[in-house]
Amino acid sequence: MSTLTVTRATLTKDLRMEWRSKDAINSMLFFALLVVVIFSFAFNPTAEESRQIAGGLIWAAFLFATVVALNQTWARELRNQVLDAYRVSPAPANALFLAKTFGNFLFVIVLECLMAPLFVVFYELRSVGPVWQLIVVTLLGTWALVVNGTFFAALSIRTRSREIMLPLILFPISIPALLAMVDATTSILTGEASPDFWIKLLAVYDIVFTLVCLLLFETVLNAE
Amino acid sequence: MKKLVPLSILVTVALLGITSYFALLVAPTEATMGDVQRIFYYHVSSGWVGMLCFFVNFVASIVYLWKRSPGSDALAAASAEVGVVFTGVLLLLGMLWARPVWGIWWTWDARLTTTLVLWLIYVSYLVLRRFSAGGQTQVLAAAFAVFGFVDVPIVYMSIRWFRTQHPAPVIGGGENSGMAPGIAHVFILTLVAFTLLGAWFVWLRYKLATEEQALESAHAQAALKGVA
Amino acid sequence: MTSIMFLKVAYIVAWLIYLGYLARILLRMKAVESERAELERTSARNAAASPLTR
Repeated sequence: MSTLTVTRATLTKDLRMEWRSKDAINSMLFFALLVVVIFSFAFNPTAEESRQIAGGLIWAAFLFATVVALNQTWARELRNQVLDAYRVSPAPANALFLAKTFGNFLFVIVLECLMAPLFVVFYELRSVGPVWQLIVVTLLGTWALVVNGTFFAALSIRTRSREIMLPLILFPISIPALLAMVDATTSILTGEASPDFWIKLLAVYDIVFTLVCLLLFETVLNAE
Repeated sequence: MKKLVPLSILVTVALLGITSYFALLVAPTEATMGDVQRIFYYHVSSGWVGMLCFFVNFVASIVYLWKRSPGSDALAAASAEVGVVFTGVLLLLGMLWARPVWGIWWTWDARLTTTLVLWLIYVSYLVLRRFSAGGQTQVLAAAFAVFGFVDVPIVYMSIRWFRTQHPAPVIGGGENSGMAPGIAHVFILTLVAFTLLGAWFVWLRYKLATEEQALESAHAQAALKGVA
Repeated sequence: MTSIMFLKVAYIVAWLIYLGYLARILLRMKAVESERAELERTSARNAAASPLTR
């Protein structure tokens, strides 16, 4: 039973279930839209200012929407005792983790693709720097949030007040990644600085924490 | 061994008393900042102990994940809590020093921001410990501690770069550069005294943690006996 | 607030926090010990009353 097979099977299962119900994607989408609208009341930017602050606003909106997605990551598994079944099966734990992480990653990327035009419209955004760099930052940044988020979601399901626990333990550790995402996005949008260091930092963050997650997930899954 | 305990308490308290006296009255007054600078002795020493505690937490967590010994978990819990307390004092004292000297309570410069983020990470560790249920607490917390400590260099690098890009007033800069001999001696003394104090706190808190572990297993035992 | 006031407040705050934390640890220790003693007493009572240990 190889990691790849199990990962693919679990991922397909999750995607199919999500496609049928569209629970997560709908709630995340609506939540992110609301955040965008509310932020625009709070800040009321002109086209010039909007490029300076858009980075922060966009990632704040995505962060909150990601937390909404992450919170329900393991809910289905818990409800049907799938986690217990998984512990007993010979399937490698990392396959489950990778499947969940990829699933979350795909959800959030789809969300970001749907939100991007909304941001462009509401904040009259036009990027001074190259757009492909924005895409790189988005991919690396989303993975950074989602990989730690999926792991910490697994930690927080065993706590009281699990919905509030996840952001409490995820946000402090994600601060360097968030800083990188926001400042890189602002640098690219305004064209005032090079995002290279931030992109490298995000890459390092992603590699380091993906490794740590893979090393420790089995321990956490079997914790009892 | 038994005689060592009260002796070391005495030594710690005496040392703290002596160094505080030195820090407040004997050490030379700093040229630019005046007497308010004396906060620096407690401020830096407290921070040093905090960082040391977080390192101990990291090592203890790894040992726990490897050996699953209750002692290492107790040490992890103790050192994290003591570390949060001492780092909290660092932050507070920093604010009380900054206000009269620089006119601001806080600024988002590299050093302050990094310290704050570190403090937040370990507070979230304590929150995780507090809110997790039963037997899994130790493993979850130990796993989280690894994340936290691995993040430390990344936090440092990211905030330093951020501040290179967007410079802000550096507060307390150069406090360690070219210390006058009078100040340096008192500083080292305070550092030693605080390290002893920190070690004492960790030891006490560790004892509390092991007592609580024993209590929990005693409860379990009693419940079993009660069923019979 | 003069700057010397800040110095005094700083030292006092530091000591309040340290002593307060120390007090908290010691109080919790006492609570744990008394709960332990209570537990011993009730389990001894239960053991005496239980038919299995008669």
